[in-house]
Amino acid sequence: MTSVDQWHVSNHELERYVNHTVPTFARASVEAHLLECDRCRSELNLLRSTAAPDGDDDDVWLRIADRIDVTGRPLRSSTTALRVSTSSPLLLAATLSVAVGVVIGVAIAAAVAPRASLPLFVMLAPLAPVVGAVLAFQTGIDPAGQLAMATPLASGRLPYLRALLSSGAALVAVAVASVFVPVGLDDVAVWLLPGLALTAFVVAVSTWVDPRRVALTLACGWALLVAMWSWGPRRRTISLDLSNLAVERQSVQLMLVAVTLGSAAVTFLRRHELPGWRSR
Amino acid sequence: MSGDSVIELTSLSKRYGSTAAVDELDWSGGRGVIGLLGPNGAGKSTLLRMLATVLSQDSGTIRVFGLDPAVAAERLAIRRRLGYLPQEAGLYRNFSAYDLVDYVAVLKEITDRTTRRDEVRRVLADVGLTDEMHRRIRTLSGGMQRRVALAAALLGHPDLLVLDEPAAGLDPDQRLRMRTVLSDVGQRATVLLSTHQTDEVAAFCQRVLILDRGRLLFDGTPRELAGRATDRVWISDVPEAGALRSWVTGDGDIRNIGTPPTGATVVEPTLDDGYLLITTEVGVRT
Repeated sequence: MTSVDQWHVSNHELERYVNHTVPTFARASVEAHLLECDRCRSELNLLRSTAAPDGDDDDVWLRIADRIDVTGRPLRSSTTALRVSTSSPLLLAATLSVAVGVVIGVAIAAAVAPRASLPLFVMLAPLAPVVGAVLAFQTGIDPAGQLAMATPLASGRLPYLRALLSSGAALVAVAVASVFVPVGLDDVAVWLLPGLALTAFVVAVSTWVDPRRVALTLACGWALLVAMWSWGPRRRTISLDLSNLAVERQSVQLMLVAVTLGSAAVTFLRRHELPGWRSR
Repeated sequence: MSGDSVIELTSLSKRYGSTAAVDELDWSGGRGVIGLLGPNGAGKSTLLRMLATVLSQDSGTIRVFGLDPAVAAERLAIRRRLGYLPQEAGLYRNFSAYDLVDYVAVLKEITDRTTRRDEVRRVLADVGLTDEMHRRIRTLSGGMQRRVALAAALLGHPDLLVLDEPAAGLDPDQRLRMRTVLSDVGQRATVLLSTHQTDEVAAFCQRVLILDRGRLLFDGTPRELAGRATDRVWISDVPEAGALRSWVTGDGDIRNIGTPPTGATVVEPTLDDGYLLITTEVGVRT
């Protein structure tokens, strides 16, 4: 750490600082300088070692850092929430795998078998965020494992915050993957809607049953449906243009929005009933 | 909440398929250190998980601090006053001990950084991990990892500590330290711990429970447990056919529990004798 300027705290001020007799307004200024200045910190340590031989310097600096870092409570609680939500290396790795898997899978399909790339995209687009949310609800992904289950925060907002971040990352991956298929940039947002609705639905149903079961059932059903549409014997008679399904049919879009909002409302009302965090 | 009861259980039952893990259990308990003994599969962990609010019962009621863990808001209120050490904590092994306990402190809503740091250091010191606090968990021995989990359970001075085999993997020195810490906590809070070791119960529990196949076989002080085997333990040179249990002691004698024959050398019972007598008698009856 280098010296911030030519000015240094005088010995007299440092003594007053050690003795807690510096006025409040000046104390903050002295602390800010101490945090950046090796020379004054050494002086302070010298003074402290004389005044309080048992003093723990590490503690002193950590406390100074705390006092300077103090921010408004709402910001502090939201940064804490974000920190805790993203503090699961297992979930981060799993989410990253899903996101990268979607992008690479669609990209490879587009390069090797262009006709298969669109069905693959349509298959993965709604399911990737669902997988992200389901991963977030597993107690095993928490760094504290079973210990976390009996804590107040883990049983409240935490799984939902994690689900939001994890499925959000998956949605971003879907948007990126859409570059490799003939969906059109304008329609990407619309193609995120099925994923959003399906994820919200799975999260809502998860307050009753294991989200893995719901997700697996939906995934199998959706994959089968897409496969039938794309490669089944009646594909010509069904003649559904998958790429335009969500874009052109306003009724479909409205239904998806309704499912999303309805599911969100159910989740809010039943937010304390995540089965994974209280076994039956 | 009646009297000083922190925990009140009424007709509590939990089944896994056709097996009753906890069977129509009625019990209440207050402040102090309470030891839960029982063979493997007795239902100890199931009972502790229900008390720790992470497992719901099939029937019956649970009240902790007079609150019902089945009700979301009350469950949250219980968790704010609870410390729980599961049998298998499953800690993430690439965190340092400090970071892991600090993370749990955040989950326990200790959001102020200074308070949290002081608290994390306190609990790590309590379990004797001050020197190892910055080592990654995967580099710690099994006993040390257990102590990290115990430290996390101790965060925030909980009014109820539910500990599933806290002494597992600890060496004698560490067990002694753990007893000291938990005895201290037991002065002002309720500590309910499961163990397989009767010497653990004798050393620092004020009350002992024996659970077998989900049923409560004994509830009393360690002295009363040993007292159950008064005049029921004797020494012989050869195994006694009429004894419920017989085993060879370190001295080469045969120690028997059951109904001693006339003229047998009856000896002072230990906690082990009391425990074995109770669990064996139940096994014989069923």
